Amino acid sequence: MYESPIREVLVEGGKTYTDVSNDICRPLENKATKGWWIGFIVSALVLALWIGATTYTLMTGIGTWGLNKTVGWAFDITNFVFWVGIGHAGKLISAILLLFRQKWRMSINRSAEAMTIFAVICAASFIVSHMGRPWVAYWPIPLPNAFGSLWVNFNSPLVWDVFAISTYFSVSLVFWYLGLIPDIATIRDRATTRMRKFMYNFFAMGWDGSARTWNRYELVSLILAGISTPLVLSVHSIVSMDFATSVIPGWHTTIFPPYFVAGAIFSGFGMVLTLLVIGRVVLKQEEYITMGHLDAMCKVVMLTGSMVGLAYITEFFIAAYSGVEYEQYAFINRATGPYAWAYWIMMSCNLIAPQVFWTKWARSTPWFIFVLSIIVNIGMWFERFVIIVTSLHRDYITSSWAMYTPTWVEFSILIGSFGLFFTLYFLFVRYLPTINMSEIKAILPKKQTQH
Amino acid sequence: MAHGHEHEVVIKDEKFVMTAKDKRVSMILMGGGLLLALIGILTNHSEHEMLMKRIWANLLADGYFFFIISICATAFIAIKAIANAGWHTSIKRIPEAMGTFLPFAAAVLIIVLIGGGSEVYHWMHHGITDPTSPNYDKVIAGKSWYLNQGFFWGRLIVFFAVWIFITRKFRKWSLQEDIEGGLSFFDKTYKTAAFFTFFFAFTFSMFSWDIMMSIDTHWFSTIFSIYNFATGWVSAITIMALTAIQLKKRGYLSIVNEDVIHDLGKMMFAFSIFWTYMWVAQMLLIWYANLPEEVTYYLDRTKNGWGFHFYLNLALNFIIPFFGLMTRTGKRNTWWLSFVGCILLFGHWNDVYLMTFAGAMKDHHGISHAPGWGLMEFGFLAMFVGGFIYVLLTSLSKANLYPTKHPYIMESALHDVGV
Repeated sequence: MYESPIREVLVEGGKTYTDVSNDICRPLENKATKGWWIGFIVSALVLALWIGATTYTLMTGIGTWGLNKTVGWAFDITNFVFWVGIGHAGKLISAILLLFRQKWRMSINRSAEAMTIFAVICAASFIVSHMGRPWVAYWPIPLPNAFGSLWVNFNSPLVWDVFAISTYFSVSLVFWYLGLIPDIATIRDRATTRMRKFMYNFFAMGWDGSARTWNRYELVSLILAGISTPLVLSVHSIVSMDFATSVIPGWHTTIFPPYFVAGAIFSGFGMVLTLLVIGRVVLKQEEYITMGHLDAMCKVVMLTGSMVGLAYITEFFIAAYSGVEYEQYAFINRATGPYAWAYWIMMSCNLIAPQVFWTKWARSTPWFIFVLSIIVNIGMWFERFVIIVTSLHRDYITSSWAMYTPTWVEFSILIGSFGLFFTLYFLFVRYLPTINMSEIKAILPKKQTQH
Repeated sequence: MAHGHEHEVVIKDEKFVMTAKDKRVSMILMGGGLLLALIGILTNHSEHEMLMKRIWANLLADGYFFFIISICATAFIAIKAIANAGWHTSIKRIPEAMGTFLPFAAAVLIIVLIGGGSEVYHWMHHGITDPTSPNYDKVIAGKSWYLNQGFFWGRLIVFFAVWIFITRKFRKWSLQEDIEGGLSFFDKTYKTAAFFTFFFAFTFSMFSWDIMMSIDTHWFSTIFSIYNFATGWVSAITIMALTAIQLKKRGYLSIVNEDVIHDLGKMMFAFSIFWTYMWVAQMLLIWYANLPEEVTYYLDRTKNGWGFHFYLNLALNFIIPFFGLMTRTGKRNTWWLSFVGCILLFGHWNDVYLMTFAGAMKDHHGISHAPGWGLMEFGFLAMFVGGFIYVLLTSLSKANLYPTKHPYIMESALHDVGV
């Protein structure tokens, strides 16, 4: 396909096909570096915290959390929405950008998809742990009555959520694995030990690289992208409906579905930046994940941050405009009540901070991008906390107003979930190629592809 | 495949000539439409107040519909510019020309607001915020900090001025680029587009609340502005596709290959689903929560004869484009694409019609009965269609049909969507 000469190249450094294979496979073929071991061990220790705190919750019950009868849903669901949101940018990069034929996605989609899967695992863990009785976790599945005493309530968005998340997880996993197969075959062909050969051969599923195989691969990718795109939108829309179908002021508002989707993309890109700004340096992939990639992602962060900001302002405005006193109070309470600090953290991290990306300097300074990506992650966690806790803690009956304070158990589960996420991510970096080699080879600048 | 084309594409000046027939058709639409509307008005037997409401509501619905289409054409240019998109470059003159209708649509809206505001808008009714008046409405009085004549007109004039100014700039720079070449116009458009997109997102929201949502002054919905944007956006893209197909049929725009048309078809398909998403999000959440202050909006729009328009909306704007444009053939067959496109445009007009009329046609009991479509509705619609076509074709004939020196013009000419 013809490209205008004014476009920047997507892969720098005049790479050949061999260079690509060598560069991308190096981190998984060499001995693990000291940095990798440190990162992995720290993550595993944090994961141990998660295992401990979750086990304690399951053994003792959710009475170990700071919930009360007014705020009956807090950290657990905040963390759930936070992680599920992060799980969306991966699909966006891989599916929607594929449908839009955006080639810059090719060096970041693999790690973004991996992030999706690990984030959804973290999210799912919160659903299970907040049930209180996880041994009956199969109850949301519509099984015949003989199996359990209740039939699921199909009118409840919580049930839709179970279907949405599990479908999303399965499709994401298939999509990710399918994209990996040609690369796993490449590693298989380069493998030197018998163990490696056996394992990668097993997972390559007999990939032979023939034109027919490639043809099927591309067709299935496109179909999966087509299925995934409505899935991304529907999953987070349904997550938003967990709140929006209620009659709680601050929850029941029609903008919730697109607003949650925009927020999810925003937080997901924040997390992708956190991972890749570091990853591209550590794995020596600066020529594949170029400054141009970072620039584009910063712009997406700014765009989606502004969309989220537009939603905040719209909600605030409509609450004032509606003339409904409960609605108005919910927002006054958010901005000036006892949790105002959380509200202003959310506003400054999500709406104000990303506006710095209007300047070229901010978009081309990696350490600054990294700092901002952390700010975005913090802001998006607080967004969910604000929506959930501040809407609940002062409800219609003033006598039941209460404050919510999380306990050490909840903090440990939250921090521990990052351990779960990063442990999986470090394993991924060690055993699978973080960049799609076969796709990158297809977009090398033309005159440089002689080998 | 692309290499094969590279030698065939010749970038050259191409001028569209508006034929006498074009002028005649648009004049007949305008004149005939006006005539039909007048016959409709004269043969109407309802009481004077309801008749006046209906006339103003017609002008408002049509004016708003074509206004959001024109401003979404500008938004299309801006969003494509900041996304660094190249494929649409060969049809870029069409949205640029659509934007030239903005001043006319704005003028219609201003006339309706001055002439018929108090008939159509609940909050503009006489004495509505005056506690001593029998018309006093406490809820609406509570909104007068936002809905008052001074602030309302102030922001409306600012929106119109900035939007029309930037729309004209985009077109001016694009035309200048044809003569002078270079990247300076491209860069200027890019920077202005970033500002415009940001500004537009916030101001269009307020604009939709002001012009459309405030008809039913009691009611409110946070998704309303995005929903209205979806309506304008999908309609604007449909008009671009229809215009490109018509021009190609007459032998113009040979540079626009079938893959560009295919991609426009994809966008019609995708944004029909996007519109439906917004439609469902608003309707489902309000229906589910069933709060009296919100659900009245849908009660007004499903009872008393409005139900037909309500369900027609879903059929024309979702079911037909969803199944009609799902296949590759559906998007590449220009006859079929045009056919579905016309249905889509009519469907979205129906959507705006329902939004406007069900609120504007309320009697003193606060109940509106669907007047049904008559000569008035079709007459006024034909008048606007004629006017829009006239302005669009006139603007197209004033410049090259595609930007010859745009840095992405070759990308667009050789655009290839693959299999």
